[in-house]
Amino acid sequence: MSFFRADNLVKHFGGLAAVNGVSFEVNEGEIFGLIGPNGSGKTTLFNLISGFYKPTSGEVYFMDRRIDGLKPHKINRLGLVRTFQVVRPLKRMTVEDNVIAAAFAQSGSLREARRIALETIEFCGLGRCKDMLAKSLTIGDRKRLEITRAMATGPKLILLDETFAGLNPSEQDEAIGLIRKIKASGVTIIIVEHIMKVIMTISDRVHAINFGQTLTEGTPSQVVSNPGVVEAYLGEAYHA
Amino acid sequence: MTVNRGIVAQIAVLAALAVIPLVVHNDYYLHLLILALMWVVIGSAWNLLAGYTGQVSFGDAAFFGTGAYTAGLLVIHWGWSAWWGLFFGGIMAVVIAFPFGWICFRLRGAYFALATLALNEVLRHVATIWESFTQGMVGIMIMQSYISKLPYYYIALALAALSIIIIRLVMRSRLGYYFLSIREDQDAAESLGVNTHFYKMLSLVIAAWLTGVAGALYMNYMGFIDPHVVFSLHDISIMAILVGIVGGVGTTYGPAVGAFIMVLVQEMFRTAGFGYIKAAAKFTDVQFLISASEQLTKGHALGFGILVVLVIRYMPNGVVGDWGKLMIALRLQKTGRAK
Ligand SMILES: Nc1ncnc2c1ncn2[C@@H]1O[C@H](COP(=O)(O)OP(=O)(O)OP(=O)(O)O)[C@@H](O)[C@H]1O
Ligand SMILES: [Mg+2]
Repeated sequence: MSFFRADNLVKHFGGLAAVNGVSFEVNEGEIFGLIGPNGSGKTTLFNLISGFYKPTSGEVYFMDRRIDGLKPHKINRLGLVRTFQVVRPLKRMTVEDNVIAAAFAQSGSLREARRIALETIEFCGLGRCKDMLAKSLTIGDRKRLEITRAMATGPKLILLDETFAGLNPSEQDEAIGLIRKIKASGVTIIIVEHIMKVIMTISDRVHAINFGQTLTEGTPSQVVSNPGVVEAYLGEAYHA
Repeated sequence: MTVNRGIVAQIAVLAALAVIPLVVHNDYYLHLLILALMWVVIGSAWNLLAGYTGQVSFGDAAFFGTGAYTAGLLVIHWGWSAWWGLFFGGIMAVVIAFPFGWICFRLRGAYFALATLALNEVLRHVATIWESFTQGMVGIMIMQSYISKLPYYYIALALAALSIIIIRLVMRSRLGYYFLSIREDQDAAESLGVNTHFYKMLSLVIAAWLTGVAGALYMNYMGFIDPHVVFSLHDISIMAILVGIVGGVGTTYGPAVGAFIMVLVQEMFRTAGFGYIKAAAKFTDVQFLISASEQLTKGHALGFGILVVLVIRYMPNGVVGDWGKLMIALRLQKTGRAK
């Protein structure tokens, strides 16, 4: 059986089919890239997988368990966590408390949760601002907090939604390093990303969608040379 | 270091409060202190739900009144001691809160607040209309167990201490962190594995229980309740909000400080400046003072409203939350005068 599988997922918003029959499988330990132009349904897919939306039809399987329709907190406890494209820090709490709240997913004791939180904060490189209020972080650090918090819940699969948007080039390089570290620690990653350089460097396999439907799937170089992808996704940039 | 100092300060305050009635033999002051201690309980409960969990209640009187009526009804229908109300009053408040929360926590923000307001109104009407059971507007009168105020004082003190201990324990555990994360962002909390519906229910149930116990204490102490007293929107529900915000929303000791301030303010309105204005009016025979003293008593609901606005405008974090700001303001005033 597969580690993760989305099966013919469909999501309608009124008359709009935001996701329209998308299927893919993710292997344990890989970085799986999900690309597509603005409004093509990537975030909606994440919302379906993480339990924030119920699919109109289709199924989601995670470690041999059907998870579509479960509440997000249940899905989190099974080891699947998502980050938000528009970051959602717990603003009036410190970075450390943000991460402790998340670490309680792994342990009921405050002492243990704090230990896990501090370890994760170090792992993700947020140590220098652990006592700051989350609302006073820069956008780069907020994105990092989003990942740190997700990691502190002890996931097996993490969904990263445009973690790189708004980062400057040196922050992007740091983020690439962090994602590699996360992979090396044994966590599987599905990543949504617009910046092709990033997707090309870190993904093992890439799945491209447009208008809620699959265009193609393959290795990064296969996908970027697919004519459909070039037209739909890279078109503007390549023609310019 | 700071932790130790904190504990020492708490024990000192508790000891001082325990000694007061042995030194102060004035029943009137003891009465105000008993009310203040009761409000520490209610304010702490409101603060847990609204300040820490972000679920603002406009209808705390629903739970307070339920606790008070439970104590009273046990006496008039079953001949039990009203003290059983301390036990069953809290439970009955939870019995009311549970289905209410189950349904209404699907509403977010202002809608939940409005639902609590509605619950408050519904229960007051039930208590008024269901005469065969509640004696309606006639209210419930019971024989108080003690003439002395001392027993009530110490029970109120114990309950106030208990509620602060509960709040402290809760806020240093998984519960507290989950409450805060729900306040800050429910979706983020869900994504981190927090069963937001369950933890909101838990916060509500703890708050309702404490408030119900306070209501039962009120029945025992005052010996008389009617629907307009214990289900009062302004004297209980709004007062609970004021205790919370004047002291400091989302701070452990805010509601305790707020309770003492607000009981004084309430008493000031009720007695028109502790009777001083009236005395001054009688003494000087100035017509303005006489009407002022009357208006002050009549207008206490308006006064509360103005106070809410002033506090939110100038001390949004309350006396405890804005302590630094308050001290700076006072010092500035002093230096200003020195010039
Ligand atoms: N809750 C919703 N209600 C109605 N329509 C929605 C909702 N969420 C998304 N949509 C619509 O569904 C489509 C897909 O949106 P989605 O956010 O999934 O795109 P995306 O691929 O993540 O885009 P981006 O790259 O800009 O983040 C869009 O047309 C969007 O307007
Ligand atoms: Mg998106």
